[in-house]
Amino acid sequence: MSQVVTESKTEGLVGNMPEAAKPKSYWSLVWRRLKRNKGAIIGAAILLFFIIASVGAPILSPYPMEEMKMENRFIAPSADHWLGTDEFGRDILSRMMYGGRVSLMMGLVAVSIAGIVGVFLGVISGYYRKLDIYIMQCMDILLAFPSLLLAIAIIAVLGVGLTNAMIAVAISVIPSYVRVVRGTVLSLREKEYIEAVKALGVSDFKIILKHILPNVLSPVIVLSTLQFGTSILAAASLSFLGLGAQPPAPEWGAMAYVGKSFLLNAWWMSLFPGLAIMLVVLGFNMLGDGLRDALDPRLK
Amino acid sequence: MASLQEKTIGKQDSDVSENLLSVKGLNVKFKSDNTKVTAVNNVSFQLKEGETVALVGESGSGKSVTSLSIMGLIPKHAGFVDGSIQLLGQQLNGLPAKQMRTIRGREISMIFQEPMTSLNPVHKIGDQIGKVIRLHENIKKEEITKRTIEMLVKVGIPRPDKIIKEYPHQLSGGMRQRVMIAMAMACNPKLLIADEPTTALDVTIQAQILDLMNDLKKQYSTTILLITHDLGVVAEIADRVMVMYYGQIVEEADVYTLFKSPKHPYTAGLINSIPNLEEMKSRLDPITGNVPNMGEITVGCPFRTRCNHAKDICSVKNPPLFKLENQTVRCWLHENKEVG
Amino acid sequence: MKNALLEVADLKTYFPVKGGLLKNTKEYLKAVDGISFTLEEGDTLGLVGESGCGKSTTGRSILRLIEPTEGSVKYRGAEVTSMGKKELRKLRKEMQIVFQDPYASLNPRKQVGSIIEEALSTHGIGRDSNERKGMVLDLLEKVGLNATAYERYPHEFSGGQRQRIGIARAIAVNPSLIIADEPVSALDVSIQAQILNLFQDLQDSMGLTYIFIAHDLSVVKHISDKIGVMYLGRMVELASKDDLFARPSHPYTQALMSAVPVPDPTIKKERIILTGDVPNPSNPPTGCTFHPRCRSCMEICAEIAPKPVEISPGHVVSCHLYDPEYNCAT
Repeated sequence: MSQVVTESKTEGLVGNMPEAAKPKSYWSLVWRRLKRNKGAIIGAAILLFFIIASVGAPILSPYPMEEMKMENRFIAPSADHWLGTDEFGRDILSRMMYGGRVSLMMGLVAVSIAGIVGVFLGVISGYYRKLDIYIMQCMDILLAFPSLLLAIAIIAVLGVGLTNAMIAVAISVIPSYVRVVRGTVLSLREKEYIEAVKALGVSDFKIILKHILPNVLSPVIVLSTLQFGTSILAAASLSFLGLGAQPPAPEWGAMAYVGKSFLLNAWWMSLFPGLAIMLVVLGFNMLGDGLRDALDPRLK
Repeated sequence: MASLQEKTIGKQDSDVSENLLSVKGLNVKFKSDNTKVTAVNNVSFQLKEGETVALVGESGSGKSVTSLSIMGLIPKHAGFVDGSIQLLGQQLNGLPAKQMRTIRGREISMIFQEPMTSLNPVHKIGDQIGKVIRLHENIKKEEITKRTIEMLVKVGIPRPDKIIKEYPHQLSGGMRQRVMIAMAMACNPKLLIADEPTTALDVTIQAQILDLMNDLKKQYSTTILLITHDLGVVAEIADRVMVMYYGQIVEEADVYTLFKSPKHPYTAGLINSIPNLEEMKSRLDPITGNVPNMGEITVGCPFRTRCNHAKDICSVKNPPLFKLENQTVRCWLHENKEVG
Repeated sequence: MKNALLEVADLKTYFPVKGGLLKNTKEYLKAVDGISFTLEEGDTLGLVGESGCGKSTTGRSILRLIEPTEGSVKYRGAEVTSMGKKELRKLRKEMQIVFQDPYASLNPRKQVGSIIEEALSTHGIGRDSNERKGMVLDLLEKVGLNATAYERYPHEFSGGQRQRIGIARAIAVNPSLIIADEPVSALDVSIQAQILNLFQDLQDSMGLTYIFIAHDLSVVKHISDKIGVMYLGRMVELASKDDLFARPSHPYTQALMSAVPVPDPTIKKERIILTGDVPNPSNPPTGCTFHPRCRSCMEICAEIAPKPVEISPGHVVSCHLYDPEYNCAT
């Protein structure tokens, strides 16, 4: 018998592996595809610029954030003050660098909360079909409101402030996570390899942890990148409406809000924070689109 | 087979010797990363009027690419088609897209493996067949409906007057393939290319479709180029067989010779490796190794890595086609047995 | 007499079909509708039939990957359908499955080594990961793959090689029964034979019992000892391979056999061309589900579903033609 087994063994060995010494993992392939995507690289560069500027604000900012000089009020962009000064003579560039920290932090916190809760609910909804209908009905109710309106309603309950704005934005973003994750889990459940590990006797918990979650990761990364931009925009909008960060906190939305009273004689006060918001959102969207293309297995 | 050809010759009293389709030195390359990968390598063959020729091969052998290049369906930005393809003396490759469209459907038509994806799901069956007729012939609307129903009757579709008002998803797989055949035959084409026409179908439905194709063949003496991997189907309806491996034709013979005395080790291996309903083997005799990816083998005979008869020369030089008595074969084993 | 490894009696798997205004489930799709057979240790049962006949659902119901609605499945005398979660997990070590699509049945994110190793660690086989790695390498060799496969990802392999990986995963836990669900139908012709041979080698060396599901009668004939022909959720004929081919009795079996094209142009067999299509399983014909396409259809066939009749020892046919109650001719 052993003879026969060896024979079938050689069948597979002959002309077996094509060259390539190193096995290519999924993520190294993704990285290679991402590097080739110009949009994603530009997006990432924009974001990197803002992140460095914000994180390094204490070292890099040309003036202390809170330094007020009445004689310097409403200076137009110049060599001394690249982006001009505001109604208290504070340097706009310095304030924006610090404001970037707030804005980016708001986005990060909102996306993290929404991501964790959304993935949890989405996986449960997709994997345990009995709970699905209840979770999805709650999400449908949330989705029925325009997200900014929903955030305003939540703030009306929780009260005005930066933390509450973050929570409000997070809640309004959760349904999109749940939908994306649930859809992915539903299609994964039908995959034969999930059935195969079930047939091996692997427990539900381990299946979710080892086989479902890693596959949910890539759509969640794409969604998070896109939602990061949306959340920053939503948080800035809330601040602009006076419901989020309160002046004098240097938040971009709040700065644009303050600037709008002086729009006719000091346009730079609103323009630059607005531009910053736009660029960051654009950066996230470009990176997100690139990531989606790189992670999309259909291209393989 | 001889009788079939005689019949054709009787019908076609002018220019008996002319080939319907003649493919010479066909090369198809595809862009992949920064290199060009050869999918079809120097393929030449002729189809005579009225015969059914099978192009047999496994996945990646280039059989479907060959048929797509005949139809002019290889997108210009993706692939490079070289060589000459002539239909009744008319050069097909290099024709402007507009002219090619008038040839497709009228002179050459094609049926595919998966009829659901080749039928438009939002149009009624009748409209889809009617559109093909309207595109190529200038006739009245009532005429078109009449012709459509006629075609459906011919392909054995029950209650055709109802079916023309239905949508593709309302039909079963077998019915859809019949509709595809009706569409392909609507303008009485000279050449029908059937790309794995029964692969997606159940065995009993496959028998129905093969039966239908045999009928149509007799009725219209349409020339059929059958693309398939299934040797059973080949034995069932083909007159002549071309075996493809790694983008090349490795053996060509009439169907009886091919199955009785296959000369290329690959053909022989294929025939030996399939379980046969009529005879019992306790163990199958497979071809070893795996089907190579395109571009993997650049020198020598591409089959040598899986061949039990490989000699030194096989790894150096790709054999040319040797002409034997009843068949041509691309293998060094037959170098000295050439005729003429 | 060999021992019965698996006894399946009147197995039914129905899927609810949502219909009506309130989406109340009143109708059922009878995917498997009363299947019975006994499988002896070391034997191979081939299940053959066309799409929608319920052969894959039968396999998955036996494994309880799909919960059967009714009936009994006994593995070595133990009732599978009533097993709790713990017992079921132990059973997974005994029964394994090999899937049709080698592209979908391996997690694309995991290295081949860890795909196979998961089978071992789930059942606590091997003391530590080192020992398990050794076992995985042995398994790879057993199914004819290079040791270098261990660190590679599924997409680097061809269909046939992936199917070998799937087989390695299935035999990793040293099961007694393997349900092979169309394991060669997605493969190239020249690769099919390699995999069929591998199945036979493993059966000989490990004493495996197979349920081999396929739509290709030639493949089933090659590998099986016993063959069950299925049509619309029912087993219309069950017999040993030799009996079935010597005396195909159900009209559907006869038609199926004659429909298979033979790779030999000199054989022109008399074809039985079945009219019509396979009916929709959610709305099957009354009585015998095959009667609208049957050339031997009698009046009774549209009214009463035939009972299985044993026409010779071990050869069971569900057809009124062989039921003395309705047809005296036999």
